[in-house]
Amino acid sequence: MTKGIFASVLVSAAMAVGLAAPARAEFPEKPVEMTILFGSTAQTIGQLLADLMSKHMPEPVVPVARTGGGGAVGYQHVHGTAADGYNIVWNSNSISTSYHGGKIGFDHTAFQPIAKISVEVPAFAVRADSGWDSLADMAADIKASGAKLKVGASGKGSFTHLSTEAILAAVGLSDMAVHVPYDQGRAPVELIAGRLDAALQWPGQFISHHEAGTLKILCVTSAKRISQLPDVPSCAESGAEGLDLVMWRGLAAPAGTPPETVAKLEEAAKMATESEEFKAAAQTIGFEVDYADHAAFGELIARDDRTIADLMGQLGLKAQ
Amino acid sequence: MDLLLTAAQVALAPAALLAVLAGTLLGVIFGAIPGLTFTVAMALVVPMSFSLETAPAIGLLLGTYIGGMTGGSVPAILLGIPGTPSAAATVLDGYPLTRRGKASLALGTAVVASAFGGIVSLIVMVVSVDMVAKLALRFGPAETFGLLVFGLSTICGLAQKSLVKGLIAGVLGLMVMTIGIDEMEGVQRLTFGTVVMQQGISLLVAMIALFAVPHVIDAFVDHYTGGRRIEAVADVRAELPTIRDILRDFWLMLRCALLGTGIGAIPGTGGPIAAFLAYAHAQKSSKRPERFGKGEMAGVVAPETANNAVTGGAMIPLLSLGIPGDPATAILLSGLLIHGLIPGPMLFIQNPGEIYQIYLAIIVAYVSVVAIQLLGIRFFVQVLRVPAHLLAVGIIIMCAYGAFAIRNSVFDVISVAVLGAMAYGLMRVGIPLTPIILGLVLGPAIEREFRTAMILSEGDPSVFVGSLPAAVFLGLAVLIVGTQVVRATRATLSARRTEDKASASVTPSE
Amino acid sequence: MSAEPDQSRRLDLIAGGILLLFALAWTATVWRTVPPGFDGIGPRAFPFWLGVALAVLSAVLFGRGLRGSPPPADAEDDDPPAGATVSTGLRLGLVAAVCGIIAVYGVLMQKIGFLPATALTVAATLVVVLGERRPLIVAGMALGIAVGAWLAFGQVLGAYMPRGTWISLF
Repeated sequence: MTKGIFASVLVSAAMAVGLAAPARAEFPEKPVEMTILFGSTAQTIGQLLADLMSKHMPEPVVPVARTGGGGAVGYQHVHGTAADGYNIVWNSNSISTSYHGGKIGFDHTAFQPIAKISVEVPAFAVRADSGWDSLADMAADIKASGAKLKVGASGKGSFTHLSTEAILAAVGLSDMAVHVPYDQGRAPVELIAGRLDAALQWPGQFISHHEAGTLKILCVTSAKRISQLPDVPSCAESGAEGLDLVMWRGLAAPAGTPPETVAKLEEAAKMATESEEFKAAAQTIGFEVDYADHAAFGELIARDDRTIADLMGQLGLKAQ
Repeated sequence: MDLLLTAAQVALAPAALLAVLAGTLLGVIFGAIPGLTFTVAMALVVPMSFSLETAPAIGLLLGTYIGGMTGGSVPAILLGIPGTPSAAATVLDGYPLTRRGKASLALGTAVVASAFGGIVSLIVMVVSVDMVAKLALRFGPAETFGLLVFGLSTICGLAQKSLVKGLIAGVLGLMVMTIGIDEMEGVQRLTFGTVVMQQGISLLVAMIALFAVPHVIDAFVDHYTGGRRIEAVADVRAELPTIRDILRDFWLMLRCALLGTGIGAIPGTGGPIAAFLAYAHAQKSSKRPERFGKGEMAGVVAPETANNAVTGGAMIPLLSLGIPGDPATAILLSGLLIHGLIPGPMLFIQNPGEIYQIYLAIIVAYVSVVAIQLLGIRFFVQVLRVPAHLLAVGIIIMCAYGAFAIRNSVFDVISVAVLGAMAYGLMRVGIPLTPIILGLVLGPAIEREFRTAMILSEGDPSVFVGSLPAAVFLGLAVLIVGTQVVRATRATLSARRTEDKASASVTPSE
Repeated sequence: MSAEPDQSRRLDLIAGGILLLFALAWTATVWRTVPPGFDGIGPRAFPFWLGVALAVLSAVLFGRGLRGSPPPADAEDDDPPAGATVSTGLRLGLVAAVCGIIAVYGVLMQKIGFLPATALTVAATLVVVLGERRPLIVAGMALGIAVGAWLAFGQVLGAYMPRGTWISLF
């Protein structure tokens, strides 16, 4: 009796294998999995992107959260899948910070870039009553007083931490600052409460306080001003000469994915970024839509990887 | 007033009501399945809310959050397996009540207590959002550390049989949570060079392993010995609490609701901590503390009131400061942002109408929760009619999939198996499992707050006594642990003395 | 637990001994592999001191087992542990079976997809572990749970269901 059941299960499993054997149809013949590495806004943007891409593909793009280990777990998962385009990753500069920080054993060359989608620009804020109007003000004041500047950012080796250190180095405060690691969201409160002197985070966390006058955003880390904060200078204008650090996000597949598959995904991504919905979300969530094709994206990743490697090397955080 | 009326028109429109109802139902279902908590449910709901109008979208998200918070108590009471970490304290007395045939009474009381807690926290939020937000600002890392240590000291109340074993359990829980990447320094701890271990042990995974796996093993063991579990013969009548039952605990509920609201307002704490503190408070203030852990209704009322009050409390820093206190409110934040509502001080000035819509959506969500759960109780209790060993097979599947769904990770499922075997072993040698959960819940936060406070003070430990709230909480914790240690030592010594006498008088005759 | 002092003494010895060894191994591993960090309280402090605390506590437990002091008051137990009479061998077998099933199910889910993995796991558990021989129950539960969960979570609620990397049916 039981044998009968097992036999039938086996038979149906065998049939399934037969059915699933590749018919060599055109990509995509089944849903594409988009691995999402982080929660909160990264996840929301990824979900929206997947949703919009699905409208331009015969099969849906399914967002699947594989968070943990600062992105390492998701990268490892996609890295281990077949290079057939059915597994793509919603990636970011974290590929470089994870690799150079020794969390994963492969770097950005293990992935085939598909398209750059967006850019997020961190903002540097201080208390409204600090009396500082620029980074230069702040640096002069700190150097004169000799007290250490307490700056909040995410944990060591994260992108916001690296950006913070780059700013401090540019204004000559590297040795006069204490980095206080906060998980996301806490830094603005600590700043308002006066336990921190400054914080570097995504602008969305500061804007409401900036408008209400409880906090002051000194600058944004990109070379140019951002559309969300047209009145806020760039950090380069504010005293940190030559500073240009942005967090890009885009899509990538395991290296070796066929070019025609990449082209299809790239096209769907392009259509998604051009939609009104995506542009509206960019305004409300707080990121800049910045599409680039796979070739340009590849160059950017390689260039950024060198910058991050240098920064981490200077800070003694480079493990490989 | 005009604003309120306009908001009511929007928030009580059919589409918005339907969205809240759908969200609540979804939340209850997800909350009732260990692993599939409201955090998972809300992440799923966010894309659905993209295409909705603002009011239904907010309603859908809030409904899911609130439904999920109450749903966790259903399996906690029926099976002794909490659906969410916030419901872990509810198991302590909820499950014994089920074994005494009072499942539906406990479920009904839990849902009423939940709604009460939620509504009280909403009232507090409406009346004093600014004041509470200002108070919450005063809770920096040192103060939060004090509060968390105070929460940890409730282990002593949970470890009645043996203080040493209770402390061992708590320490084990704290230890498990240090595995993985240390987010503050980006350093790997006990990962043995692997990538999978970098994600660490999820709290939910550990919770499933601690509660579900021993439950399943016991059910199978009973199947072999022919012994019937007590709940298999339990009465499954749908018996609902009367108004008088509920009013009896009114003051307790009110105190626990205020406690939960306060804790919810402090970033970095959350539902489980509030629930355990409320449980400890209920036990301490009870006239018959010895009945706790054996099926005392107050032991269900207190944690359920407090963990739902956390929802309103957590909305305070979210709306007024833009600070999400936990992963669920972080998702809520994204949902608000995508509809153009930027939480923070300006929200109350720029979008007062939407604020009222949020308040109304919370009220509607609690009404829906009560309706859904009270209607659902008669179906939920039918679960107890299923033979225990067959039910256990279903639990294996639900929990394994639930563990997978947290982060879509097979590693998490395998962790359930490994930790589950360990948990069963600990249970067999008499180590209580509940303090482990407390350690798991508090571990990461305690370490983070302590280290942050030390970095802020540049290595000066006096911050923990220099601030009044921190000093008070730490002092209370020391007091509680101290008296328990003294009492336990004295009890052991006196027991040994009597035993020595007894054996002395016996020895000669042998 | 209080029924036999010898029994509880033996358990204290076992628990204390194993936990003490575990605590020592943990503490040594932490000391060797986790860097102390820069600012005094670094990533090493918490795991290290927790290991030390566990070592001390389990040594106390072990010592109590050796000296055989009875557990303090409040010894009355509300209900007997499940299957008090069951043999240790069978119990260990069931622990291994349940945990093995969960682990294998997790891997299967990834490899062959949610539906087949679930049906297979339920059927195997019923037949092999529980000795259920009625085909209707086995097939009904296997298909019922698998299809029910797949429909409810995957289709109605839209949760992600693994599709299978070796074979994929749906």
